[in-house]
Amino acid sequence: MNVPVTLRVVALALMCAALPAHAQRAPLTAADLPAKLSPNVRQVIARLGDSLRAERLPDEPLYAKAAEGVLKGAAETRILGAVRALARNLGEARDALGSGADAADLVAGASALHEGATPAMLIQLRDAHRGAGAREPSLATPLVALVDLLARHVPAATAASAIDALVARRAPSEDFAALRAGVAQDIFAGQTPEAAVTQRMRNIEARPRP
Amino acid sequence: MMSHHETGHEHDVDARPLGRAITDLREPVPVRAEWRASLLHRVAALPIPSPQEPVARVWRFRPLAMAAAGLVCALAGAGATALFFTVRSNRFAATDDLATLTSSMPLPGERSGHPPVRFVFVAPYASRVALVGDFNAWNPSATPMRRSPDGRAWLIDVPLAPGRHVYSFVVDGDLAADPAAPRSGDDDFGMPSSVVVVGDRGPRT
Repeated sequence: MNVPVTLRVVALALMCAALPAHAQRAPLTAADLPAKLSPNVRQVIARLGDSLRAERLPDEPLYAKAAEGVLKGAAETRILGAVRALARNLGEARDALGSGADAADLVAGASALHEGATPAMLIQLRDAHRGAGAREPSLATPLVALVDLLARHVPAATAASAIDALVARRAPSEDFAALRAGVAQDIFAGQTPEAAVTQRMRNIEARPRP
Repeated sequence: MMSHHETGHEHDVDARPLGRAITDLREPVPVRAEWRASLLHRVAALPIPSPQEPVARVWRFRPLAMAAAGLVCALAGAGATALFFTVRSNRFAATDDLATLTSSMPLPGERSGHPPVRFVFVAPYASRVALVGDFNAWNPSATPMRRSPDGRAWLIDVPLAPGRHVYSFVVDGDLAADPAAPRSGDDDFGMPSSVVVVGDRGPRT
């Protein structure tokens, strides 16, 4: 297509002007709940959000969860159930991880609880993280790796133990990514989830500490 | 009819009288001695011209003139640079579409301070792929992805604030998780999603 140079320059200038607006996205609020939801459900979710904010917990994940449910075509009762469970898990995650946990840690912790981790496992992970003087102040990366293992049906105790070991080693984020990728590969190749984690951890622990 | 330049023989014939004429012209023209003496006398009688102004210029320090010259040079340099990049951009745009051209610009995440995260989904036969997630309220029309130059994959760079983000791809209307990313776990709606953790310096998972 033959576009005149002037038109290209104008188009680029408009795009440059529009990009910062895209980058500075405002956080989701109750007003952003999908219009497909009934007013009653919207009201219930908004109230849940208010109560989370009052407890200094992030409320944005609730609205994102509702929007995800709408996009995935879930029924309203199911969406409401998922939002309520998330609100409950966020509170439990804060109790386990402490008041210093940021929003990413809390959401990842809530997700881990949802997948079968226990609050005691989160507390142990937090303590291992503090004790090791981890490189990253956030627990989000270990928690996401834990959730991934749980989602692949690795027994919770095995998964939590493996993640604790990596945290204690002050492993970089690449090691967490390598563990979950390796486990996924081994399961795909026919190994049981537990055997895959055990084998991969043996390989990692055979290496010198970083 | 034969042209005048078609034979070399005629050049040999004409060369002799021409050489003779040159020799004759080089000979001094005979003039009478009285005429020569009269000419020299009149030249000697001409007045001697006054000395000319010195040829060398006197350079003076003129601040305003120097500032103006500097400004002109700077403007000329900026113009030349702009012209160079305009020509380059035109050559680039001629080989690809305008959307690709934007990839050479600073990414919005670089301006907002958030590192851009590149999302890639391999789907050579898809006709439309979009990215959805908690960062765009799961809106399938908010973040369309563009096809890679080789046509195999779809990609987009999105500036994401540090934290944990859940996302999926919408491939011709169907949702698909990212096979290269960890699962989000909290899959309450029967379709898996993926998760990316963004640190201060970019994605960590």
